[in-house]
Amino acid sequence: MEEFRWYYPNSIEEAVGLLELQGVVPHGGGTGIIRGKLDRYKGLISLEGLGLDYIKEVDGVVEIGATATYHDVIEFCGAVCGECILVKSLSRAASTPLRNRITIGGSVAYFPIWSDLMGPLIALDATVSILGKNEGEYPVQELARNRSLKSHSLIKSLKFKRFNGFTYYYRAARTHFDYGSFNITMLASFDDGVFSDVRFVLVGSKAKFQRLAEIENGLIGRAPSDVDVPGLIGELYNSIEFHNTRIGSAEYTKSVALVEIERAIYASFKAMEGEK
Amino acid sequence: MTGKFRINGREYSIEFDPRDTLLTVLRENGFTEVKEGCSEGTCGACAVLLDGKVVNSCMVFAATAIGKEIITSRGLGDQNNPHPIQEAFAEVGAVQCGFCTPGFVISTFYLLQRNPDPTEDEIKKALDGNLCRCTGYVKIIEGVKLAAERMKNEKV
Repeated sequence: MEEFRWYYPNSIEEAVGLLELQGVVPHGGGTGIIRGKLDRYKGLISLEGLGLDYIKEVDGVVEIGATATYHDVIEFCGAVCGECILVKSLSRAASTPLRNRITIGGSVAYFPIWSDLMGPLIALDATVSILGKNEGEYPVQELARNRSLKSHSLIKSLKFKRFNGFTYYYRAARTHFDYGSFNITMLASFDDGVFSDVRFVLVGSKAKFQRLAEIENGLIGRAPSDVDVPGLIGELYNSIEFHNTRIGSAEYTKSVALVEIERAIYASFKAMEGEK
Repeated sequence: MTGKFRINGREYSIEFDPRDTLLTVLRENGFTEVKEGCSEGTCGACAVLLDGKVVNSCMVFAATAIGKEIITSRGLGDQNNPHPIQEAFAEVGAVQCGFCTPGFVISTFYLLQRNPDPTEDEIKKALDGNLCRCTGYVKIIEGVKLAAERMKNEKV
């Protein structure tokens, strides 16, 4: 077997330089690296000790370093904003010991559709800062679409504007610990009894990551009493498709998703009512 | 490769394959209280504390644990000098086959360090990474509550 090496860079620049090596990839928490298939790599670059485990908020913009764990984010966001969307979603992800290891950068790099991170990040219009060959700041959706961006590149951090309005997260899974079949994220702001901002993301459909413009456009500028919810759900029927999932057939999964989308909308109505 | 590991308060210099997980390194060096269950981060039988945080040692490369503080369930207490969590588990019958117990003890310790007076819901959430195929969890939750009570009184 070919020799396998660990690299322990002392600076981000050194880590970026190591990305030039063929078959060598960054290691954050290591949970996404399949142990049985390690022979596909020639080495791993440990990102520990590079100071990328920070989380900060400056002028309403939250920046999370690549090696901050789900646990770190839940603690930070929980203390800052209580029930914000990342607290809701990441608390559902995996389990306590895994949340202590899964890193934000690793999740963004692997972008698994069952991840509880991606829907909220898309809804938050998050951007990802990349170093190396493809250095730059990219919308998280662009990274999801164009996987070659992470080639010989290092995810440094992600940024998003803190969202203070209504947040809703649903994850469809057979059991708490199971991989999610799909998840939905809804963010909404209200102004004087009408929706002023709505962001609705479905993750896990055939489109993988889908902003539901039908819902967003159907709610923005309207009061709950003016919204035709069954009509909106009906419109959606032809625009979302699923493969067969862990919870059931494609058709069944779609039915569950439509019910949950409807529930999210009604939850936002209730929240707006509560605000009054 | 060779690395220095601090396990249960003692330093060990261990030679290992760079691909090895922490679980493999621990078990091959006598820490067999760390159990190998699923080997994919689901069952929690291999849970240890790594720099004070509970992790699945099967999901941690040993190379990333060099120089860190590792605590196994034996590091908390043993047969001659059991930790209140271990005593409570034994007393209430939270141990049947015992395979999952070291992992549960570690997760319980992690919980009670952070939250000395957890509700039942908080206990269930904290133990979401540990599976038991024997007990049905009722006695385990009872054990955690008893341990919490004793640790509060004894200030462990």
